[in-house]
Amino acid sequence: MGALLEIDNLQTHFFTSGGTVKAVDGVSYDVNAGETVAVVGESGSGKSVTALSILRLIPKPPGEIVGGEIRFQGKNLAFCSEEEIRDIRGKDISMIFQEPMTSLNPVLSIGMQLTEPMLAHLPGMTEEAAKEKAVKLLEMVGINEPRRRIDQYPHHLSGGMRQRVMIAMSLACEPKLIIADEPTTALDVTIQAQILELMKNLTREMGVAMIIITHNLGVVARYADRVNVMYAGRIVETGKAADIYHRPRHPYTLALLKSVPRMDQPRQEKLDPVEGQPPDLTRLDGGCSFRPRCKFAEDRCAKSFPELEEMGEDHYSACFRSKEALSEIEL
Amino acid sequence: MVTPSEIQVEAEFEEVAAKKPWGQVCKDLMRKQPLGTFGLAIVLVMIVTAIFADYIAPHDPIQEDFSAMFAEPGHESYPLGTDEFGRDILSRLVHGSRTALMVGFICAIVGATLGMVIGVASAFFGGLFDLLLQRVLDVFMAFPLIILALAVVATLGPGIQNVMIAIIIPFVPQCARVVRSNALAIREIPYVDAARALGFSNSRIILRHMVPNVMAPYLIMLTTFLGQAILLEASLSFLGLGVQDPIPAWGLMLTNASEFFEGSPWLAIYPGVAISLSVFGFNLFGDAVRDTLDPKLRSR
Repeated sequence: MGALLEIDNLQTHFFTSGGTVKAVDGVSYDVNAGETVAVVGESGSGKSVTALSILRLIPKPPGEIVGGEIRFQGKNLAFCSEEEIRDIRGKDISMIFQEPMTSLNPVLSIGMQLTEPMLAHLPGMTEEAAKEKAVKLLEMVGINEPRRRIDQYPHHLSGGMRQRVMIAMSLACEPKLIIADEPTTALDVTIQAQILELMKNLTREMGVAMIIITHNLGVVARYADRVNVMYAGRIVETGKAADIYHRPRHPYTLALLKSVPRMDQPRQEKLDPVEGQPPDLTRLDGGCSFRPRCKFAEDRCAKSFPELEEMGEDHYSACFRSKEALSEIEL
Repeated sequence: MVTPSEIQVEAEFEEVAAKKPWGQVCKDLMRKQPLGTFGLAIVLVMIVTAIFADYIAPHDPIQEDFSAMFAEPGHESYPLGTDEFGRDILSRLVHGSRTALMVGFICAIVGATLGMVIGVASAFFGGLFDLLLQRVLDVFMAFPLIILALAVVATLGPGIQNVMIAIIIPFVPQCARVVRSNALAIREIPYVDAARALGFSNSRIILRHMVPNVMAPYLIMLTTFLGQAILLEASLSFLGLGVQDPIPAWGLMLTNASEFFEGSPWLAIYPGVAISLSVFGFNLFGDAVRDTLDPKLRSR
């Protein structure tokens, strides 16, 4: 029995006037049923594009999935028909966006927006039943007086409340997988934890798998079962959250972890930012794309791209020097 | 899981806009948009006149009275005089408002609505579809309004339905163009992507999620079209391509008057005033609607 979602060597490229942007260049990962997987990386590392590719929401042109497979319960989403993917969107796989302030339609009431996916996807769902369910969903995501809220419009709600509504919407059709694209980035720090806690609890209760895309490593440590670290359109390290957090084997992961303050470690002198800029994705050569910023870089890094190598149980890193230079690091 | 403070703050924001009584609304409107209120008053008078034309008009508009041909205004039973067949000018004006309003509203609503759907669809699909559609609309927009309408009527033949078709056709690209530019901006807002991520069909996204968000430009175009349509209908009827005798229509009354204008100027003056006043009223009203809906022009 395979995983719920298997991404196999996915390649999504954007064909622009400035050249072909290889936003996602051979990404593979699995998501098991009920599991929470984090995808971490800088802006422009291809983490969002991977997620959008799963639901085929890449604007085309200029973007296109040029290779690889996305198998969801055995069906290849990358190349199925528009009708088939539309049936899956919102029903089996739903998505939570980064911007709660603009992800809800300002002219439709909360109730309408909550019931609409149910009415569209679940045959035999009546308007009454959908409305009852919407009230329950709002209650579940911790919104008070759901019966009154249902007739309100998005401008009546704060950012945190709206993100709760978005979560309720994503759960409406009882999906098997939720993709959350930086769900807390636009929220206040105090609300972030609430929202993440809520998502964690709900997905656990309902047995929903979740892909959480973030650049916040704190989120990863606390809420994810497994972590994929992406850099320049590829996965450079993947493993259990604890392994990634405490025993990083890829220089990029190490640099990321050192660039954020950590509460579970003694205070460092100063933070250590990742120097330099992410590479221009139109101009990737055959070598390791992290090489220009890497403290461990050697001559061989320019010659070929390192493949993912096993570092431990369910822990892979794509670096030639993972085993020698980085093998003893414990954070 | 919800913090109590968040709930309380939320509650305070609610019901800020309590319902105002109608009288207060009217007073506010008059103060903020005096000209618009005046325009609205003209429009309302016209609508009432059109609806109750049978009760308001003193005579049958097509009843000929050969004992009182070319009666001058002030005649005991024909206050605005009569035309060459002795038909009452006032009654014809009153009934003419029906034609004008019917053509005005049907053309404006159909034209603006078609244009809106085309404009939103064009923005939503984008790419080649958008490019080709916009070029087709460009072709239509290249013709002056009246020339295009004339060409359509010349092809289809005169008659009230054809006149309406002829007026609607040039309206569609105008509205489509304006709405498209708005819809292009809306398309980039995440809720459209969110709707796609929820698996809604394209038509559902366009009609239910995008169309309500372009209501402001739509209403502005609609109100502008109302006046334009009345003017166009009058022009076409004046040129003999529109409404045909004996149906009372203002443009038609002007045509007939042109022969007798020197001896009986009232034949032309009253329908001319009616056309000007109604177009004026609709335009004032339209301007007020635009000022209210366009946040860039809103002063307070």
